[in-house]
Amino acid sequence: MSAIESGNVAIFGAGGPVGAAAAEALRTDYTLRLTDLRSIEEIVDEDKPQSPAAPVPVVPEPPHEWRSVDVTDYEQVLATAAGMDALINVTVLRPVLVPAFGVNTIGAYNVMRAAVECGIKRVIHTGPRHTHLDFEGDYFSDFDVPDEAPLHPGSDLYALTKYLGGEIVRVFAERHGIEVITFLYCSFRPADPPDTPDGSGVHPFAIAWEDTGEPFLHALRTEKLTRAYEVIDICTPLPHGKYGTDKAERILGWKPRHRFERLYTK
Amino acid sequence: MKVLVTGSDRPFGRSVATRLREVHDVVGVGRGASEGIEPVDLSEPDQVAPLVSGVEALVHADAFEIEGLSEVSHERTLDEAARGAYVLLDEAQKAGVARAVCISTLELLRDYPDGYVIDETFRPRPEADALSLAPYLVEQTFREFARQGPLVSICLRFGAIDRPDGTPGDLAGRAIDRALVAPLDGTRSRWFLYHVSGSDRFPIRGAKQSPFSFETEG
Repeated sequence: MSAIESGNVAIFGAGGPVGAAAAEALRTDYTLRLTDLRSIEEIVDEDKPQSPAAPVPVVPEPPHEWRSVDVTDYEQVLATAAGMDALINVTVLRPVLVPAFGVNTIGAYNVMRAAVECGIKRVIHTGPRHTHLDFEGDYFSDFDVPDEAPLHPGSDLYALTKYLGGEIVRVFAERHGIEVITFLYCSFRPADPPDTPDGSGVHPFAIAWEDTGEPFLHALRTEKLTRAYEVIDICTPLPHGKYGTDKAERILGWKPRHRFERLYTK
Repeated sequence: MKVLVTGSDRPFGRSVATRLREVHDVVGVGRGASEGIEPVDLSEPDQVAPLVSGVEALVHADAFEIEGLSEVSHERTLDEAARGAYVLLDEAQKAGVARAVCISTLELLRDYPDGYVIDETFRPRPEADALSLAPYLVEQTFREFARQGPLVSICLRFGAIDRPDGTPGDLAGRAIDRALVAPLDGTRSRWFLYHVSGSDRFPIRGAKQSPFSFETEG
C-alpha cells in the first residue's frame, strides 16, 4: 500500500470544477502542482463557473504552483510528474472529436506513462458513469448497480473516449503495480439550490459540489486497496435504489455530507 | 458487394484486398500511398465519409501489423488507431453500412500461461504500451458500436500470418470471406468474436458454431 499522507501532488485539469474542488481539499496537507491547458489568470479573468455553484480555481500561493500543461503532450506531462508523490487526472473534453480523443484517451495514456517513468505509485483517475445513453445496455432500468458494473459507453464520443482512457489506466495499473483509484461521476449540483422547489426531483446518481473535493483526500490516504485498480462511484445515498456508497465508505472511509432530501420530499 | 478494406498499404491488408477482389467490388485504402492504394487518414471524417458511401461491408485491418508503423510516435499511433476506428464506424453507420469486420490479434492473449487453451471468453491482456493497446482499443470500439447498433461487428483475432503457431494466410482469408456472408443479421447479437489460428493454444471453436459456421477445411 502506498498511502500518501503528505508530499507533492500534481492535478491535471485543475482549471475545471472537480479539479478546483480537489485543490481546495488538498492544499493544507500537500504541496500542489496545479495544471490546466489554460493559465490560471485566463480562467480567473473569465469568471465563469461551469454551472451554478460549481467550484472555480483560485490563484495558488506558494508553495503551490500553477502550470499551463497540455495533457496530450507527453513531454509536458512528464515534466509535470517529475518529483511528485501522486498524480490526479481530472481532465476532460466532451464534444469535439480530436481533443476528445487527445485529452480523454491519449491524455490518460500520457499520465500513466509518466507515472511509470517517475516511479509514482498512486494515481487518481476520473471519468463519467453515463447512466442513460438511450440504448438497452446502459443499466438505466436496473437497480443495485455496483461500482464495478462495466461501463457501456456505446458510440457516444465523450463516453467512449473516457472509457478507452479508463481501460488504458487499468492496464497500466495492473501491469506496473500502480495503485489507481478511478472516481466515476454523473450529476453534480449545489447541495441546496435556492431556486429549486421541494420535491422537484434529483438524478439517481448525484453528488453535491460541496462534497466533491474531500474524496480526493481520502483516496490519497487510504490503505484499504485490495487490488491495483479500483473504481468508485462518487455519489450520495439516495432512495432510488440504483447506485450506492458502500464501496466509497469501505475503501475511502468517506461519506457525503449532503443528501438532497428536500428535492425528493414534499 | 462493395467492400472497403483498410490497412491495404501493408502486407496483410493488401492480401485481403487482393483476395476479396476476386468476388467483390473492393476499395482498398491505407495510411500510406502504395500501388493502387490511396492514402487516407481514417481519423478525419471528411476523408472517411466519401469512402464509405455505397459500401455494404468494411474490413478494418488498419490495427493489424501496427508495429510496422514505427516512423510515428507511439502516442500518435494509439490516437490514430482509436480515433480512426471511431470515425470509420461513425461514418459507416451514417452511410448505412450493415457489417464491419475488425481484424485483431491473438497477441492480446499471449500473456496467459503457455499451457492454457484460450478461447474467446478470456479477457484480453494487452501490454502497457501503445502498440499493444492500439488493437485492444480498436476491438473495444467495435464492440461498443455493435452494442448500440445497428451495425453488426465481427472481430476476428489472428495470430501472426503464415508463422509457426500463427494463422495460415489462406485460413485468415477464408475467415474474412465467411465474415462477409455469414447469416448473422437475424440473430439477437450484433457483436461476434472469433479466434482463427492454426495453434492448438487458440483452437477454432466459436467460429465453427452457428451462426458463423466456419468450415476450416477449404
